[in-house]
Amino acid sequence: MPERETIIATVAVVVFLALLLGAGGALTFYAYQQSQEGVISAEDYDFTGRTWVDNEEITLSDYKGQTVLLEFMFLHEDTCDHCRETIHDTIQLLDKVRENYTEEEVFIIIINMAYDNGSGQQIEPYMESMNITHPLIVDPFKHDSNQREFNNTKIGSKYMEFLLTSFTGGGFDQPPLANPTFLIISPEFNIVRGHQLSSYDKDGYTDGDVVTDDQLMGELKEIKDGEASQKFQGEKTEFNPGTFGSFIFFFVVGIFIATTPCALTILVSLTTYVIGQSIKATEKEKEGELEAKESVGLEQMGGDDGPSAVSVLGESMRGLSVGGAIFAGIGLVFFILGCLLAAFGNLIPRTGIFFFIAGAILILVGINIIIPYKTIFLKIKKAMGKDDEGTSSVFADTFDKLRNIAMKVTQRQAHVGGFLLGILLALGWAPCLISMISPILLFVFVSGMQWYFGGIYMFILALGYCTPLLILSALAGTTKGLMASVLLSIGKYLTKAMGVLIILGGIFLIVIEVLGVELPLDALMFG
Amino acid sequence: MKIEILGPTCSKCTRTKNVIEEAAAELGVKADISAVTDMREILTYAIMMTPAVVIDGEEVCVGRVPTKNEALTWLKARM
Repeated sequence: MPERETIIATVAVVVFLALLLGAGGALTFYAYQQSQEGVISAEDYDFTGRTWVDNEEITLSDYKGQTVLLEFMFLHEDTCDHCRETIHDTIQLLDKVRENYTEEEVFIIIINMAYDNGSGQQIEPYMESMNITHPLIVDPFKHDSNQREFNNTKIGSKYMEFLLTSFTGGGFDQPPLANPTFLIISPEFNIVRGHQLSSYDKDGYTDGDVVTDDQLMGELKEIKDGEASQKFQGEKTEFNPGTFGSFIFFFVVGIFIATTPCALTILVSLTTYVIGQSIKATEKEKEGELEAKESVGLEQMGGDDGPSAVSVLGESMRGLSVGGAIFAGIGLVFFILGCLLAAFGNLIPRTGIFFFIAGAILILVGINIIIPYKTIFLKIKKAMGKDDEGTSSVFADTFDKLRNIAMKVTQRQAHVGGFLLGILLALGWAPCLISMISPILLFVFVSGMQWYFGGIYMFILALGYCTPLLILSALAGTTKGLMASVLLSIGKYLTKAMGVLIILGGIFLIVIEVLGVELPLDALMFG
Repeated sequence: MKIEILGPTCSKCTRTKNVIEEAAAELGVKADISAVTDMREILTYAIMMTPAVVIDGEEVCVGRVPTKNEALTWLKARM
């Protein structure tokens, strides 16, 4: 009954697409949550104090709407020589900040947690020798052998709990307030960055949380311009993979790639072929067994040729396992490819030209997906009276040979053959897949992620890519064909949409990285 | 002679069809060339990848666009 099959296939496709949309929605929701989580409002850490020199009252919340660089340090009689040197260098760094930014852009407040011996004058000589011109609030503490010293401070102690819990990585074997500790408060009045530093040399701080002068200037610029994430980052800022959201993202992209007509046809016909070979092999085995049984005079045992529930399940399991073998081949190649790409990508310096080329490639690939260059190229060739030379080449010939070997293996052992065919497929046997996957390859290449994350992401992409295949493999022939054709009709539009997205991606990359305009995409994609 | 070009309506499949049609025209072969684009039908052939060329039930090319020379050879062998 074709009507019934049509209904089943349509329902299946609707369910499939609903899952896809659900995954997309979940991803967006998760990214939103991630972008909200870890935002630390400075409202809870407001303080008022008087400046040491001018005796002016400073309230942190008065500086809402501008960037504030808070610097905690300990400068007093007992400060060790090494620490004093570090403070000296730090003051020079603050001077540099002032050279680059006006007070309205980045307001600097130094909180000096000074040991109070009662005289109240203990830091003056040092202030003079260091030529501190920035607003400095003395946050005195008295010695108390039962407590950490700065717990007695008025302002510093407010930040203690936050500093203890919010800093991650980056050498938090430092005391909660290292000498110095930088906190940057965004114009949105959130504490967005923290650096706990201790030793300073000409390359920057080399102990604790490593940061160079240029990095700090860069961070201040981002925060000042409202381009930085509002989440607190108390460690080295780098691409942070491993978030659940980005895994789902790669998975969904994989599924999308698989529903493009070219990819889907190839995957479906490939699995059908391998499953067919597997069935043939089993039938041969059965015949062999049957003959053996007949020769010893046994009756046919328990065999029921009708499609019982058990055999339908058996067929589904066979389909799934064959699909799984093909996935294993594709996943293996993608994993290795991802590792290599990320590793090599990290060797390339990130310059404007690098991102410009990457963006240009994306735009070209996107256009190619919408209107294949080859068709235009061939039309011109034809107008000049030349023939279509097909895709015969040394490359294609080699693949033909390898495919023949894999086919022979498939006839003997379908799963091993499927695995080999999966490897061949992923290695670029089907060039139309390359244009769909190339944006992802490019992303892994430029992202600066650790090499093994490149591999993991590509493996997850392969999983998404093979998911429709696994579902289809488990279905019986006609339902499978029908579902595939419905998916194909949708896939045509999906492909065009992806082409457009890829072009936009290329434009964004150039706009963001080359022209220096930053969009809050990081928060959306990688929480 | 019955020639079937298997594959959905992708650019490669169209190119394959063009190549075969040109070759047939050049040799003056009277061939019934048809494009099989329905996925259900494609699955009834034991082919591994599209586009595929099937001449009189025999699969001659799979997974790529053939050259005109190749097409000429296949057709000549069956004339």
